[in-house]
Amino acid sequence: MNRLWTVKLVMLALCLMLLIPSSVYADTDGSNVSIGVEWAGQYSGTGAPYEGNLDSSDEAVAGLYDIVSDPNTSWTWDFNFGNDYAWERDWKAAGRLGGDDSIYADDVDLAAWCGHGLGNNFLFNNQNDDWYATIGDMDMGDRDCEWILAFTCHFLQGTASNFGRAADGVHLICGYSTDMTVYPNSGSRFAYWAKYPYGVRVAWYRYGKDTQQAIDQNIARTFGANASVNDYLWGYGSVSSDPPFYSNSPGSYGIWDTKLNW
Amino acid sequence: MKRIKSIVLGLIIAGLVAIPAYQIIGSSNGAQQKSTKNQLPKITVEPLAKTGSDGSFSNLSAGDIKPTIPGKAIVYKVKTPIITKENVSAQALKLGISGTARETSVDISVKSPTGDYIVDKESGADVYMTKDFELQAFPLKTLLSDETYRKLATDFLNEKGLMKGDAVFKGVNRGNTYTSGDGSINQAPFMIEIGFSRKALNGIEWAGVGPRITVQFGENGKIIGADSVWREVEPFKEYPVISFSEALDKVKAGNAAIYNVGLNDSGVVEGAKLVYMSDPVGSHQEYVIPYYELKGKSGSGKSFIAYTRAIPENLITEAPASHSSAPQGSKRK
Repeated sequence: MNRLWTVKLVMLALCLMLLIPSSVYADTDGSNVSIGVEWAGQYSGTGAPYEGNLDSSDEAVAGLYDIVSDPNTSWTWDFNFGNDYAWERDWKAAGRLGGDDSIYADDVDLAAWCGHGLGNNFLFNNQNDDWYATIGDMDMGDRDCEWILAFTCHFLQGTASNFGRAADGVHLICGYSTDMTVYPNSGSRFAYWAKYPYGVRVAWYRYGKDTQQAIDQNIARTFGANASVNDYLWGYGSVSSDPPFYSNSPGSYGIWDTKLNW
Repeated sequence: MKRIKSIVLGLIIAGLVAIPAYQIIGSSNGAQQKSTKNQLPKITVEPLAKTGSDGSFSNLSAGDIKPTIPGKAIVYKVKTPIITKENVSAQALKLGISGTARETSVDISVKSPTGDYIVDKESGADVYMTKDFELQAFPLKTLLSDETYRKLATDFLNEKGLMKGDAVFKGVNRGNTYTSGDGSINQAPFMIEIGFSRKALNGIEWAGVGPRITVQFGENGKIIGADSVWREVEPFKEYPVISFSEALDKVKAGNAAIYNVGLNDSGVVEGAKLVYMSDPVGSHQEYVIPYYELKGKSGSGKSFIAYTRAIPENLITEAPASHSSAPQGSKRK
């Protein structure tokens, strides 16, 4: 009899566990959902090709920690490397080019960069291995990454043929096709809208409208799979399946431009 | 000899009179300066924003222009918006959104299955977003004329009580576009926006993220969202304005937000004026101060724009905008 009651209690507990929504989210790659950010603010005196400092780049991406702080989800903060510790190698394709993206930029679900960008690249302040992480260096999404936020200028300038090859399974890449302004609250504004929750593309648009100057050069751009356009961050809404590589299926991708505060 | 003695004596007396008089005049000037400083307290502003492309000038000239810039301009103080659950709920209801107003440390909002209405407590900026807005991502099948969009937006804002008294029509934005990855669809609008800005204050126009009211349109002229950034201001004090040449020097020195310029570029200014700057949403703006807006052509022929503060730097105090921080990490390899 006692044993029967024990079995009943265990069954009841199991049923309750199934009914109560879990706050722990795992992505389809099987890992817990995580954020990794890199930034560069100190360029002067480093020998970098461009030497203007960008003082608020650290705060700009640190604001994404607001997502991790949300008690309703289980996002984790994987890495936050700045200045001397932010490396091109961390974004470079592991298999094809011998980089470390499989343990850094492509080993998180949301990867972000803030620093100078001079046209389809990120500019670092050291040469580990190179000053520039270029589009050609990146094979994002073949490991884990679903979304990239590029708080930098010109990362998505040109056409999809210029930047599409970086999309190897990543769902959306959010950036600018033009100049932009780095504000300390950039990441926290994105986090604010993504947590509301709104989709990643909408959160990027809203962060842009909240912060960017009313000059006609500012165009926030989201590039990614058509099927992923309404992705939410894990735990906040639906997330599409990993898309085919851009190089295999360019027609299934799109570019969404939003002219900000025109 | 007697005459020489008289001259020397005269010079001594003149000196004795002149030195204290000079000291009095000097101290008087000092007091005036001190008094001026006392009358004009330092204005607290956020640090100048920087662009992500690191543009700078090695050579910037005024070209042929001789802008007429006033020697003084009024600095405005931002009024604290009055945001309550009651007035947010009432506005939401006008927009067809019914529900319980929810208050957090930063906003008050009403959410419903059809849309949300959110008001930022710090700035008073508001956002109305429907479900259609969230899902509107692909080219519109039916586009209307600019005049029709403008009328629909104006009627909507008036009807819903969202129009501001000193709003002026700004334009139609058809720059929210979709381009397919294979290029078969090229920059087709997926959303149309109608914008309003605010009348110039004492002849000085606005720049920055506002003031603005925007209405978003989806398919066939359907309104799918609206938002505004509209900080109310009141005159604070009149402050001196630096000269155009001083502004030019500041931009050359990199003490400015400079857009669309390469590293150590050259440029010729084609226009200069004062503008009032509206700070980003989410930041605390205490004062609205005039900036110089310089527009021109860079060495590569591109149009550039630069903003630098028009108030003398000795009357400015920079306060960090926010204090986001996050744990660092250690390299695994």
